Amino acid sequence: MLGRVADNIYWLSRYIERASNTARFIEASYYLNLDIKINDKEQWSPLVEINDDMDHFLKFYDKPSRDNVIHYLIYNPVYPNSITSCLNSACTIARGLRESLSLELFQEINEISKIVTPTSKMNTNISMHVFEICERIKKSDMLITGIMSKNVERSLGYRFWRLGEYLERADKTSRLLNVKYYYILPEKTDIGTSIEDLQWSAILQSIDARDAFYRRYNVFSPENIIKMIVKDDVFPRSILFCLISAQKCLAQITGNTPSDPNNRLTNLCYRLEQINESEIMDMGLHEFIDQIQFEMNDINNSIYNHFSAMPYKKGLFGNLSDV
Amino acid sequence: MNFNRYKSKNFYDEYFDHQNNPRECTKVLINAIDNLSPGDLKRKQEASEKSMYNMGITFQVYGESTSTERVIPFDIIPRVISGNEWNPIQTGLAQRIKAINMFIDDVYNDQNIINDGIIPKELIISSKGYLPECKGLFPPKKVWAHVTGTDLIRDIDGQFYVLEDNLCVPSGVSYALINRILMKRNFPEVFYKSNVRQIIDYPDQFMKMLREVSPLPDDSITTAILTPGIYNSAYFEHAYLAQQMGALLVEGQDLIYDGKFVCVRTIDGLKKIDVIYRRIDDQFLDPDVFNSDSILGCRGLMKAYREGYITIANAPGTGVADDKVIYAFVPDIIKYYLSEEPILKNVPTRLCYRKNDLEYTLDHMNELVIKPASECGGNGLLIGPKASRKELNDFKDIIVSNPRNYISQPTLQFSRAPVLTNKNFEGRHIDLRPFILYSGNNCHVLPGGLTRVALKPGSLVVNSSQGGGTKDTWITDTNF
Repeated sequence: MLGRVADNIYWLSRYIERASNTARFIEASYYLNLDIKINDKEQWSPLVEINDDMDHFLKFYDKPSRDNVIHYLIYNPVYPNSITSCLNSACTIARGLRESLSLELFQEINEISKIVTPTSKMNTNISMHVFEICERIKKSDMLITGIMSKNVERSLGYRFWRLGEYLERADKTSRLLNVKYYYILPEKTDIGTSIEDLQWSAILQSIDARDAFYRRYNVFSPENIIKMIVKDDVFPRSILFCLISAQKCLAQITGNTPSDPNNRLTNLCYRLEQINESEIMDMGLHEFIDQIQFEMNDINNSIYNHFSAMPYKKGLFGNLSDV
Repeated sequence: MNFNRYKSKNFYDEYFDHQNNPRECTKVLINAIDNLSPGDLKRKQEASEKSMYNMGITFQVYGESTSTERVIPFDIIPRVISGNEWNPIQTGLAQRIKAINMFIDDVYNDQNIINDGIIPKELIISSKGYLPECKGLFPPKKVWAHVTGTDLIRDIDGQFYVLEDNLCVPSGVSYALINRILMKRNFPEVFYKSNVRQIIDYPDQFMKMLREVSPLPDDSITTAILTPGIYNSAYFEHAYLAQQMGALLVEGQDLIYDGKFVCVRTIDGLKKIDVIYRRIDDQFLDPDVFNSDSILGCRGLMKAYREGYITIANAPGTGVADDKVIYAFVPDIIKYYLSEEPILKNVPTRLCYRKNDLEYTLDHMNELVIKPASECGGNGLLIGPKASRKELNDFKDIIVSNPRNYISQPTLQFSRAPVLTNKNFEGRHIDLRPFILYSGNNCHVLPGGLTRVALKPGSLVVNSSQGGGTKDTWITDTNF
């Protein structure tokens, strides 16, 4: 497989996963804000904070109001993480990958990219269509995953796709957990009260983990929720599950050859298996998340350097010095 | 829907003869169309274009600030040619390609055709596609033009003529393949009854041809299609062929010369390529040899090619035979190399470098089509009967300043076929581009090819950039 193609497949799947995760976050936040207001204020800024993009956001908008945040996250054409930007990037990559994608898959990627039209204009009715748009993006993403699962042979292209998907999801789930850090509680005494429970519940909801949580844990506690989101090895959106799956993909790609990305990923999985939820709480959720995000970034760079950058690895005749 | 009001007029019509009686090969189809409910055809046509759009079979139209995606218009009424009529065309194309390949090989090696006084040396050397860098090269099986997209037209007498050969990087075959898929979906019954010759094995034939010209007789050879990238207007075709053939699709940035082989950068390191089907022009192939600014090709490609470590299809230098002056010699070329009479006719062509032809051309400009020898795609040509007095005068100066570069031909009446307009059928001019694969051992002619249609009433310009569309082309055999 060409290095360029591997890199493109990896990013194609990351962009689609990113867009659909953003759609999930927006939905869950909206629901939460409909139920609770703190000091009569809705809380939309955490959605921007979790991507560390508040400075960028404030270049375009005066304040993180509902409509501003929704516009930023869904429609803004110059914000690289907006849904429209992600899907456009995905579509552009897909065009350059046509020979590697089945027609059905290409068509669906083409369709998903047309769900949202980028616009720099603020529309006052912006919030009216939020649920509908998020729903369509989630569905379309699932259809794409279904086509992959049913039609695509389990060889390199498939593995790179899954690798991108799992790493992106691990990243997004970890960022979601960070939302909790940015949510404002009205007063100190509210910790442990029902508002905090609602916030935790919304976080579970935004990764569709609420039902699974109640099936797997009896007690609704932050410790258990953190355990579910970080360390669960059977729930497909938990960080550890995603990283283990990504690690398997990498191992299938490289075979028995040891590689830098594989070593890094194996180490990270091992550390997550070892740490327990109260240690995470002691360390501080925010600090913990920052740290694993830092490591996931390194893994991402290492994957690129290992498979695609590859300036002039040894040629068949080892005679590349003059090139 | 019916053809009651459709008239063949004073043209050769592919569906009806001069008395407006249906031609034998179109009867099944006409009958089927007669039985369709009103609006049905239009719906099918719109659905077909929609699905082309969804499949991303589009090209970009660049405006000043935006770019929009468009599909090439698809006309749902197929062009039908009977098998009996097609067979000699197929043989004629194979004959032509074989002779042209022998000619190109001769030009870059022994030059017998020059020494024997058939074609003057200066004509060959002054051809834009002639590359001195290719002298002394001997590509595998002596094949230079592996893929050809010859343009044929049918004149008012019902005869097919070769308009040009398109030996370098002919495009359009993907449209022929996609149009066929759409037609099968729209008219399964008629299609079945019409006994249409299949074209579905074209990608396999293509791959077989590439393997036959590989430097190594090896099952494990690697083939690649070299594309300029996603912004090229034919990018869809490059990707589609690669996918259908199972070839790698590569860009210049993926390639590297390792001192012996041209290699592609894979995730496991470098892998040598044995055969490359390139969709970039000669000038961009190798910055060491040709255009030194090119990033579309690969430095070292020509060296590997010269040393026999890679096959390039079509071979650099093939364009020498695309020159329209050389085209005029193809009947002589066939006689010279094959000692056979040409099966397919050329359009009668006058060469302005000859004094008499120049005089005739200048005297009859308003009747003739005058073409520059080195351009393709209808660029820079003059259609005498449609030109203004000023245009004629201006063009006269252009010809006289460089007679070598101009030829003239009578203005032909391309045949017509019905197209679906808003509510009716109307006649429009069409041409035909069959695709020919040649490996030295074998010659495969795609049964049919791409029919291009000038959608503007009365227009003779079939190019997609100028309002042209396409039709599926059916070669049908009678059931016995």
